[in-house]
Amino acid sequence: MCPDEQTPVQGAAPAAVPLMQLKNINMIFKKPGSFLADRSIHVLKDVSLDIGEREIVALVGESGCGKTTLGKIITGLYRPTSGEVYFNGERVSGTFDKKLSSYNQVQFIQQDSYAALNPVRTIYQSLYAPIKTHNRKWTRKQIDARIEELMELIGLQPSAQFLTKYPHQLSGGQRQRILMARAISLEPRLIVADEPVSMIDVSLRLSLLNLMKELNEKLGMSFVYISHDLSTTRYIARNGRVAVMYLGEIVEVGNIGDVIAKPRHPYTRALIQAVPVPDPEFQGNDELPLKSMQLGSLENRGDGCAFYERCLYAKDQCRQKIQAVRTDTAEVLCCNLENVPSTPVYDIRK
Amino acid sequence: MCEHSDNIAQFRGVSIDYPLKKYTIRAVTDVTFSLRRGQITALVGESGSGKTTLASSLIRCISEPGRVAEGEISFYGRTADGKIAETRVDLLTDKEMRAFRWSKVSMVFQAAQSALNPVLTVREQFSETLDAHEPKHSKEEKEARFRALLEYVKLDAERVLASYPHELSGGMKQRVMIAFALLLDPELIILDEPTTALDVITQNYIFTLLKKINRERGISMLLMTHDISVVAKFADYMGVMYGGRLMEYGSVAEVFRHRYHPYTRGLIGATPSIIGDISDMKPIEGSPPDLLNLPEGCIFSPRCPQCRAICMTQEPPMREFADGGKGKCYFYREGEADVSR
Amino acid sequence: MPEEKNFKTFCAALGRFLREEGDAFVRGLKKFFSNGKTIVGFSIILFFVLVAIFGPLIFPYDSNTDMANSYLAPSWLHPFGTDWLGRDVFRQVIAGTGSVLEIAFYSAIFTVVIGTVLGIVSGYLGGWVDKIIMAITNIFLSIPSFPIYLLLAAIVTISTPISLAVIISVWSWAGLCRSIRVQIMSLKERDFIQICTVMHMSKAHIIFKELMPNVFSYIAINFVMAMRNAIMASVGIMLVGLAAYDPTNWGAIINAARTKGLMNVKNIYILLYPLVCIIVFQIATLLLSNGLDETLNPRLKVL
Repeated sequence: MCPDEQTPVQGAAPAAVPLMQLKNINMIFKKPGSFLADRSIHVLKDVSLDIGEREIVALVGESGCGKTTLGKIITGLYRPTSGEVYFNGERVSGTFDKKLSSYNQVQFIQQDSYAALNPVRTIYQSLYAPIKTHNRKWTRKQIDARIEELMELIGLQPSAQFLTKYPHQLSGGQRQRILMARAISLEPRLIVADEPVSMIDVSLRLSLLNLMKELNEKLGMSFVYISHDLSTTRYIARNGRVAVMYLGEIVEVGNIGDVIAKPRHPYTRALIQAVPVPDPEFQGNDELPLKSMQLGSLENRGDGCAFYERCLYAKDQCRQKIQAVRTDTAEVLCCNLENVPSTPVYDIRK
Repeated sequence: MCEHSDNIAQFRGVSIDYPLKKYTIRAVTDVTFSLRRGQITALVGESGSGKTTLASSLIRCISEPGRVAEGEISFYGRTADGKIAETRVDLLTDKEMRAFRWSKVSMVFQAAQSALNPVLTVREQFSETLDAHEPKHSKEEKEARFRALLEYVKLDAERVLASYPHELSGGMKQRVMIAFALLLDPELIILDEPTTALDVITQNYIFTLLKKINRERGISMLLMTHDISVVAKFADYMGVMYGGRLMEYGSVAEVFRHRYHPYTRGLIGATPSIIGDISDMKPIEGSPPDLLNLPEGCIFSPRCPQCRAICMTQEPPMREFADGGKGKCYFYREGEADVSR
Repeated sequence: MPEEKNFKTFCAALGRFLREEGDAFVRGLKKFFSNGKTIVGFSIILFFVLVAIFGPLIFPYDSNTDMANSYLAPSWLHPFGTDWLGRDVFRQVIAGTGSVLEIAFYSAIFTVVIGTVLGIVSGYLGGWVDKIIMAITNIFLSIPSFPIYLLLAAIVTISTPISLAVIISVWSWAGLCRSIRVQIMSLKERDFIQICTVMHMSKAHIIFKELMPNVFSYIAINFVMAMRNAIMASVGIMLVGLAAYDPTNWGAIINAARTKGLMNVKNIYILLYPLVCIIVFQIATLLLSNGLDETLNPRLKVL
């Protein structure tokens, strides 16, 4: 990324009261284990994150790192085991919370566009119902006008051609656009998008990401973009922030340009090196800076570093405790940074 | 037979039909290309481009009711005395096919979950397949072979052999599938989106492993993927498919360097990357072709930024060049001498 | 001509109406009748319904006894012969069709309504509501139904088709309830229901507008199956003579033929007629439910 692209506004710390604030979120799922005790799976551990007004924040990590769980806590689908969630400075608790429901200010776009639409209802019915529910006094004409407006915004024209169809009659890209229309129909201030393009054809991905970018700029909505793919993340977030997650913890958070150019956490370094680049002349080292490819366990977590087992630079002290460190560009969950190389993994500017 | 010794398999004018009740879908139309021996060839395409159908035709695993309607498929395998002999795959009887499949050409599927039998342990599955093809091995021989294979793909053989598929993680399952594909020492492995469901770190491990197998054991590979970055990192040769047609074929370095074909150029430009300038990346306008309602002329013409009048009336021929590269476009390597006629 | 103009606008309006409103209906009908089994099954059931409605008008049933003409063999005057009291069996069977269909219909409605409502409530709400409903369901499932029918029939006076239908459906909703509950439980974890929660849609909307349409085809198939079961059960109850409120009911005819046949063998073939009717009706319901399953169930759809 070129440095002149960076505007200081978005990459820097968000405004006085962030739109959404997560403080020390813990999420523990109980699973039936032996007959004596249930197994407890520590999916999120002490996660704190601020999401500013009009900001795009990306959550990146391997499958099982807890990024989708965190997304569901932000949308209110899950209630965290412990920790606090603030929306606009007010504390909220979870599903059917009055403060959130009276505004419908957080919406969700799911990965599988086919599963996210009711298969036996037409697109029109799927779009109509939420608008009607939250605008009881609107006439059918007003709602129809609103739907038309939404369809224009997401670029599905002429709208009549799509509204009468059932989900299986549309292509994946079209369905994903419908999901976006539904998410913005209640004019939320924050949208959580969970891998919205991973099931979409490559040639259409960028147009969907462009659409999200446009909604972010035009309508001023904040986005939480959840993905395992750093390339699309870089495209959508541009000057936004990225939070790299590993085993339920945020290991590095900072401006996405800085994190990709100068990754500091050993896990982030491995992750960036593993991303394939669409250029055969530009290939990094095949051997990743990792001890093993085995993901750690989410059970019986101690106080030490979760990445200890796979870290090339780990010392004995890493098993005892872990503390976040602020560098000049990012916040990194590693107390051993002086031993981790700080050179760029790739020359991003080519 | 000189030219054939370079190739492990060859498709000549292959078309594959899906006859349905009311109409017939032509999933693959007139594809001609070769797989180089000992190399990794990638087929890139979006969903519905026909890449999986084409590759499955090599081991007659096309999903029902697909049929090879036209063309010839040849496999140039080594016989017992080390010579190379042609096998017409499309003419084999079902019985011959069963012997050919897996011992000459094996496959790693996209969904390892559904490819492995959920009620058999890994040991039972390996043993069943080995017995079906080479029944004469003793128990100790088999066990030693399984262990060697699983250790080769860096798995804990003791544990994995006794496990059921659901007890393994996604990355482990895919490595078991790779070991399974190597079981009968094939000459070619077909890889159908082997890492689609996996995260980038596991993907990197799997491809590093596959490349090692290719280089150390000399096994040729045919990789099907929608991700052109994986091709850039991993493959030696590549074919680009669109709407059932082969649009471009050449060595990976050449295809990426010149970007002659407008679809390939669009595809590379539409792939986000963690390097380079974001503003250079842009989507291909329009939507993928509907196989039941293909456009007149070149099927890419409605989305092509270089589309001219001739493109909308007649389908362009495949232009072939001396270095082996070819492309289906009127303006492909314009000005150079076409060797196809 | 103004009338002509009016007529034309009327036609245009009618055409538009048929195109817009009728389109979905016609498409539904086309889909419904696209399956051969459905057509055959539906036609047979329709035939029985027509017989039940118009049969008694054309061939009125005379319940007066005529001992002089008892045990007559089939003839043009009495196509199915006469019974031990000299009554025409053909007319008896026709008169009985209505009450058999009524029992089947009411019983199916009760079964489906109870089973669906409890199944959806139990599956969607979960928690202690689910536990209580499931406990009751399990009780009903674990007690064998037929002895209970007999017991109930012995205690309660069964004098109308509805009362018989209630008794039958009390023991048949539990199975449907369980399977609807399981379907709802898997549906409510699906993404499109989750999004309704995020969008704060009402529970009523989620149940009636989002969940119900997804199990509708299943309910339709079970309605036909419940009719089938009700006829089996009602004939069984009639056969043992526990609900002899109507001597024309098919079960009652079989019962009479059997008991009186013991005394006079000449009469025993009479039980063939209602038996054949029952078998044909059962085959029709099976065909219809299989046909519906094939058209409505997406998992069975082939290209």
